[in-house]
Amino acid sequence: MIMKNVLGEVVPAGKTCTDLGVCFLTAEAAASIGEAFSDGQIPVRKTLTLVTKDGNQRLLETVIGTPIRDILNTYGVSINEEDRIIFGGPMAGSAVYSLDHPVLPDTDGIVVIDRSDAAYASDYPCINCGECVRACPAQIQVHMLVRFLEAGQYEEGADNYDLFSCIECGLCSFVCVSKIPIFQYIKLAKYELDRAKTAEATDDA
Amino acid sequence: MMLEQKKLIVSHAPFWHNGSRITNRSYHTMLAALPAVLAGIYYFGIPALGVVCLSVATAMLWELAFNRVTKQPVTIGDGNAALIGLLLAMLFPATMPWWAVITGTFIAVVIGKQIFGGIGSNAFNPVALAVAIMMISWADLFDFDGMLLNYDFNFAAIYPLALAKHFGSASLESLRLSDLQMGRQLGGLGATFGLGLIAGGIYLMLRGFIRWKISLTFLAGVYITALLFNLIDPERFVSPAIHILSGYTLIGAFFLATDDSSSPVNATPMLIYGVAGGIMTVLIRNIGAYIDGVILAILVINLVNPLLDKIRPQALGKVS
Repeated sequence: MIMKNVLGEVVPAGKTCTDLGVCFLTAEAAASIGEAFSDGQIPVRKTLTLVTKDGNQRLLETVIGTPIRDILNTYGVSINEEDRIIFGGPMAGSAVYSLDHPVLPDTDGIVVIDRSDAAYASDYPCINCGECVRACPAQIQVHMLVRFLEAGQYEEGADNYDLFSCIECGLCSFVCVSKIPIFQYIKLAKYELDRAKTAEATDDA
Repeated sequence: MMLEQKKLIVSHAPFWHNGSRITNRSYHTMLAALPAVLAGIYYFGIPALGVVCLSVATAMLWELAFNRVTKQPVTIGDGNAALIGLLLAMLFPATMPWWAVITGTFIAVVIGKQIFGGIGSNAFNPVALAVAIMMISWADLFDFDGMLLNYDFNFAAIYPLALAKHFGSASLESLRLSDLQMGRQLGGLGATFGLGLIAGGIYLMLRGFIRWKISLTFLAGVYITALLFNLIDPERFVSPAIHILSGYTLIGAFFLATDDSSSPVNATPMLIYGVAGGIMTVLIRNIGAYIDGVILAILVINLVNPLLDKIRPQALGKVS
């Protein structure tokens, strides 16, 4: 989206920004590279944002490789069964399965969500309310796409309903009135199509 | 070490949800419809309350029965069946016989919604489908002048549209617009209280449960077409204000045309859908065979809805 709004160039579906010769860095990454040059060593410290269960945000600096358990203990965050700890952001991040998961060089944020606040998906059908279509920044007909993906017809979804235009922001699942895990279906479809493509490629070779 | 681990849930992004649910939509829509229903009960008495209760109850029972027969999970908890029952009752006259109410809810819930695939798959508005089938099968039941004969009203007890169609606009001289707005007219038990329906509609539009593009263009279509007809021949065709305030126009614009599955999803199709519905309504009323055209107009625009929805913006980065 930044590419489109700031540079005025639209990335065609199926290609990445780097294919067009544009690379995105966070401000912190640029600063770390600068520091690395001046100090002469690889950056080992990482600045990240910790969001605790009550919604408070803290900016903290830690050594890469610190287990998440230590960080949570420092701030007195208690973890119960079935909570979620997310590396990244609440919309497009990944949940981790263990408190010993280390901080990685690309961890910009850690969000802790209590089990009672987390979003759950349901298997209700799409009611065609159109919230997803209005929310999608890539103007995909999400309600049609999700029907094909639910049915497992990934090829048709990709060909006719713009699966690869998705920028993976997660807004569709956020607004879905039926609580359909749309984003998950989209990621699954892209993964399966990618797997099929590599299988074809290795078969030919 | 591994044995002391707390079990965390690893689910997929996103981890937040904006809290919208189908039950919210259903119940808020019923809430918005409540002023009109209460006005209907006030004017038409206990029979109206009876029709409403029977309609809501049998709609939910039909859906429960269908769920059980097809061995699917029970879906009456989402409030949609109850909403269909309520809207259907609002279109009926207050003295609708009990067997007609039960048949109506059967057609609406089982034929209009469940057979198509349940919520979200109905191609037509279930309520409009039921009323249309009943209008054609038992036309007498929808003749409001006849059905409400035994009432003793202290206002002009005529169905404005019937009078307009058969006798032209001179017969409606005595009708005051304020009467129509406040519900002092004959019509469906929930379709007469103009101000209540407008208030409910505005509430739903502000909360985002229905799309203003559909409702307002529908009303605009009705108004402008009625205005054109009225300008061409004021003797035969009544003024647009009467068209908006009588019959099913307001309930059609806010509650029927905006049904999620049968209405478009993209912006431009919504505008075309609404205007086409409004134009059809007035055409049927003024030069067609039926007294009120809203129901049939809504069915027609539901029919072209998938075609209209193809008018859509191109996806980001689409390579054709």
